[in-house]
Amino acid sequence: MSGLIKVLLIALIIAVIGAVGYSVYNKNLSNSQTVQYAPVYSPSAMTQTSTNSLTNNSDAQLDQDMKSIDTKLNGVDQEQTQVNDGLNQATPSLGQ
Amino acid sequence: MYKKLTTSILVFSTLVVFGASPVLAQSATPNAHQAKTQAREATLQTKAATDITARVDALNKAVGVLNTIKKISDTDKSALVAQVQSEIQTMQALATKIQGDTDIATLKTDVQSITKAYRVYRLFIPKVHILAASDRINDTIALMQDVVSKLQARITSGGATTSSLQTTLDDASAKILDAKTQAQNANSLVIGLQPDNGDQTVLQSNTTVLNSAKNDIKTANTDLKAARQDFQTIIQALKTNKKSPAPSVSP
Repeated sequence: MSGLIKVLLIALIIAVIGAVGYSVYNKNLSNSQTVQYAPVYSPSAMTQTSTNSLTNNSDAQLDQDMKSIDTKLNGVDQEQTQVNDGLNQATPSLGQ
Repeated sequence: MYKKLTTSILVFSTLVVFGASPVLAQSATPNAHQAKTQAREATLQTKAATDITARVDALNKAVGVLNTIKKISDTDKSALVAQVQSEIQTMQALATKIQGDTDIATLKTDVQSITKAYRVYRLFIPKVHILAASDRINDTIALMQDVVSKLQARITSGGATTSSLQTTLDDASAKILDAKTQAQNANSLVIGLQPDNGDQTVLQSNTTVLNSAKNDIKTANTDLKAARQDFQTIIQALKTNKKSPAPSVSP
């Protein structure tokens, strides 16, 4: 009789361990099964990319690039003027 | 009787007037002096308030300029903004102190410190604009390098008809590279500059460095304009080549 109880107890312990183990495994599995979505590119984003690539190497695009360069160079000129004004000792209104 | 009385009154009045004059003079002189000092203090305090407000406004604009800079590390940007904001707080504290100064000598020293110690216009503003100019140059370079790639592709694909343009494009590339070096030099020179706090040696050193950085910016700007002219020459030539293609060889 005591032998049967021992066997039943061992079987019960194995069953509990097995149930807990399966539960943990199942939970980890469900967490790892995250759906990976492929990146979505909007048409506007693709247009933006192609504008800066060599594929858009038309005369019109080069002219547009030159205009953008001129705008940026104007910005450099403005900052350079600010630097000169700041350092110009002959500007008494600015003081020190 | 009346004559004697009138004479007595006149004598008494004369004595009172002339006798009191020194007393009046003695009491009027300190009052006049005090009033003059107070007026002088008020003038100094008003001028100081105006000067400090102008500097705080300029520093606030400098913070705005710093925040527009793109090609600088977040750490450097945060450090620079903190430095300028600290200067703003110092200026505001100085303004409060000056308005509360009651001793004319202390007031004069504090007012002089607006220009002699803090150097808002001599250091902070030029420094921020040199960094901003360097940033704009680097931003322009990024676009110009893109155009170099496009023009290189055109020249390469054009074969013999466009090969003569290669020298011009190489010149543009060299100019852009030099502009990049100059802008980096300017940035490195000024980014660590600190106020001289009245130290003449530091003042001279800062001024020398700022002028050197200013010249670097000027050279970089000249380089970029020369490269832009090269671009224009190449683009014009490419367009002309398109209009009059090389004659094909007939059998």
